[in-house]
Amino acid sequence: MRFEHLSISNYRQFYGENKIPFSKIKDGKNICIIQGENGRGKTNILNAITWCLYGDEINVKKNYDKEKMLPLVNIKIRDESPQGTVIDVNVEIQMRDDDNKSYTFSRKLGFKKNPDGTTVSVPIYSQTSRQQPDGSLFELLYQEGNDIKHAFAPEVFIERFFPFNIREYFFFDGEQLEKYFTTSSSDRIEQAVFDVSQITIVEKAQKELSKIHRKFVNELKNLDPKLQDLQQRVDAFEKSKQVHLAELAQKKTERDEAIKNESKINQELREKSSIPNIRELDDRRKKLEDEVKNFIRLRESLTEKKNDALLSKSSIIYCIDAILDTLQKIEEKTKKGELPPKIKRVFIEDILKAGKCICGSDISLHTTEKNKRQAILDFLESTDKISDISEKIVEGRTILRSMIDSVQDFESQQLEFSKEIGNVEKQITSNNEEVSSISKKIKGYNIDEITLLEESLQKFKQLIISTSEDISRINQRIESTNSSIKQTRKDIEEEVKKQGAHTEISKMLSFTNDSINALEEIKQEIMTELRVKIQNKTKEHFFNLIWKESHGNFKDVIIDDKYNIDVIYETGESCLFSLSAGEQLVLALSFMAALNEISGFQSPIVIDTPVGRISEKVKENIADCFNKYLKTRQVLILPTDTEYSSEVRKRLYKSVCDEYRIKFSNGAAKVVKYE
Amino acid sequence: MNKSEKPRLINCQKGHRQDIYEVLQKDSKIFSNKDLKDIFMMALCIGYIHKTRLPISKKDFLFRTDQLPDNSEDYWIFKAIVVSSERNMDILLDEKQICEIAEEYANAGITLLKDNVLQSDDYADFSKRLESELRDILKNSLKK
Repeated sequence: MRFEHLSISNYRQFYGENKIPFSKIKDGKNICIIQGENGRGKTNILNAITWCLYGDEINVKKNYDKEKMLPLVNIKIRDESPQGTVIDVNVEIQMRDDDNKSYTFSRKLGFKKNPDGTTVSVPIYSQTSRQQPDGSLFELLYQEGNDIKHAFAPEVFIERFFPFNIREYFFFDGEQLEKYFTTSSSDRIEQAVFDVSQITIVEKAQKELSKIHRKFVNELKNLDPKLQDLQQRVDAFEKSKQVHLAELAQKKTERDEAIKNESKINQELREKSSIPNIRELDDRRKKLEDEVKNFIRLRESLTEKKNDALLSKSSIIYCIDAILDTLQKIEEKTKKGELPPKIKRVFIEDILKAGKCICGSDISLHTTEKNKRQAILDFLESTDKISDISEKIVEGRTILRSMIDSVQDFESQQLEFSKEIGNVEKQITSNNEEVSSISKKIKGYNIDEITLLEESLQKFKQLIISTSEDISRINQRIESTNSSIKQTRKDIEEEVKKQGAHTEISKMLSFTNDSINALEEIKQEIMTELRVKIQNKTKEHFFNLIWKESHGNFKDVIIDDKYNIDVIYETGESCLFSLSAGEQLVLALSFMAALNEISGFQSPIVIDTPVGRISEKVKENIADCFNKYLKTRQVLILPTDTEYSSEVRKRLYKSVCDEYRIKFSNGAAKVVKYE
Repeated sequence: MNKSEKPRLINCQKGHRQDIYEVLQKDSKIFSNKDLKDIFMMALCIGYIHKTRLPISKKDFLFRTDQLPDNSEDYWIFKAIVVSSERNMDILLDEKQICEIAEEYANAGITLLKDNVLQSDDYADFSKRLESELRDILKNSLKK
């Protein structure tokens, strides 16, 4: 079965008639793309299809208040139409089956414009079609031989091609697929297996047989007290089972509510923060800012040290010429032997003052040995005046030399400081850049609000876990009660046989009981067989679709007898919750493909937003997957503009037979060819 | 050359202590944790490098010579400047003269220093210029 064309008129964003023809599957090309930005009608393509087929928009939340939603009719055409006009909203799907017979489903609903500009739906009546609950006209024109016939009950055909209870395995939102892989997914998976098994007929038969069984038991009850007693026990167990079932239903509702809230909060968090790790980013920003403060202090300290070193050497360097000059003079005197002097001047002055030489000669003013006095006076004359401070000068030489030495590494020391300061400044700049980048990313996000949402999210996650545990416990109790009911019924049978009385009734009782049990076994066998088939198909698709880099990591895909799905790593360990977003999507698509194939229904698949929350590189891998996905089936994909990047488009090209996009302006969406 | 002892005080021009030295100490980041002696040394060197001496007409106390021990680097800078400018080592005997000459160089240098430091846009600018100037002096001197 494939879509041949889809026509959407005045439905939601779609203004006027939008006809979308689809090509036949040929040369491996089975994918049709209708690309649209969020909010521009993309998801309403899917909704239009399900509205047409089921009178139900699959992607509109059931608990939404319809009063607070835009009407089904396109706003632009409503505003353009005069008061009192009835505007027809129409969706038509023409299909062709594998025998090339055509089927055209259409649904039409009128909307009358009120004086205040609002609209009210106007039921459409037809003598040839059944009245629909929402007043719409649902029709089917189908080909029989060369004739086109009108079906009185198109719903029957719907059940043949797209049964209502398994529609979400044909028409689905890519972003919702993760629900199959949460902590409560076993229920969903069991339900999915049950839905595709189509064994509701078995359950109906069981119910009817149970009624008959009860009728016989009631007849017997009136006849024998022991049987009465046994039957009372069965009744008590049945009552207890009903209580457990009611409890189970309540827990499931609580859990589903928690899942819904979890999903809602996740959505809010996504909206308020398209950045998944916003808290980590904020923490990182704070850390960087603290580091910057420390770096600034360090820079100031280093700068101060550098300038202290600069100042301490500045006097020496400014006077280096004078220092070198003085040092040279001292060195010269030292070379000449004048420093240190042989005899200090003060010593000679002292002996002259004393008037007596060290040899004892009289060298006073009145001496007769005037030549000796003169010799000493001459010697005094020749002695350097600075000889008296020669020790200080010799010491000074050492000091001057050390001052020269101390400035030899001035340049390298200053460079070292500058380098250190430079490194610190680089760190400051780098940190500030990162802080600025983070601030830009998280600008406008209210971190406190996000924190509160995250806390609520944790509470709901916890509630999901606790209610799942409760559900598990209650299921065990129900199983135990069922066993008790089965056993007590068997006891009734035995008792009736023992008594040998009421043979006819006991035969019927036995028969109905056996039939109920047999049907239960059949049901379980069918479910098990289907579970295994779905498991194997899922595994087959998964290993066919998963990209090379991940392929070697996985060993198996299983759906166990409790309907828990799992992926087994090459080491033998479970890794379902360690799968990346891309790998999880592949698993989900594989599961959907398996359900589709096992169901036996060959209808087209429609996938909305297939790779919404996947990174670019992984999107490209998923694009490669779609080239191998359900090649004999028509697949209609509704990607956003960001999902359908040029690289993704390039990769999908060999599988795409039709390519459209939704052009939106002035409240009107139009489906046009992609280029 | 007369012999003389080191005087007890180092002086500056009257008014310079409050108007220049203490202002440099308070308002310039580079001298913010330095004492008056350090500022005097810088002024002395700038006066020497510009080969300018300005006699002090009216003296005012700046700091005690206790801060200039005989074997200190700062005091030997005094001596080196004086020996170099007087071209005579005998001046080392006249410590009073040594200090007077140093005071005159510093007296000339302090106004130049004040203008240089306080007119800089920022601390980093003055430090950079000082570093560059010192590097050049050192390079040229060590070449000789």
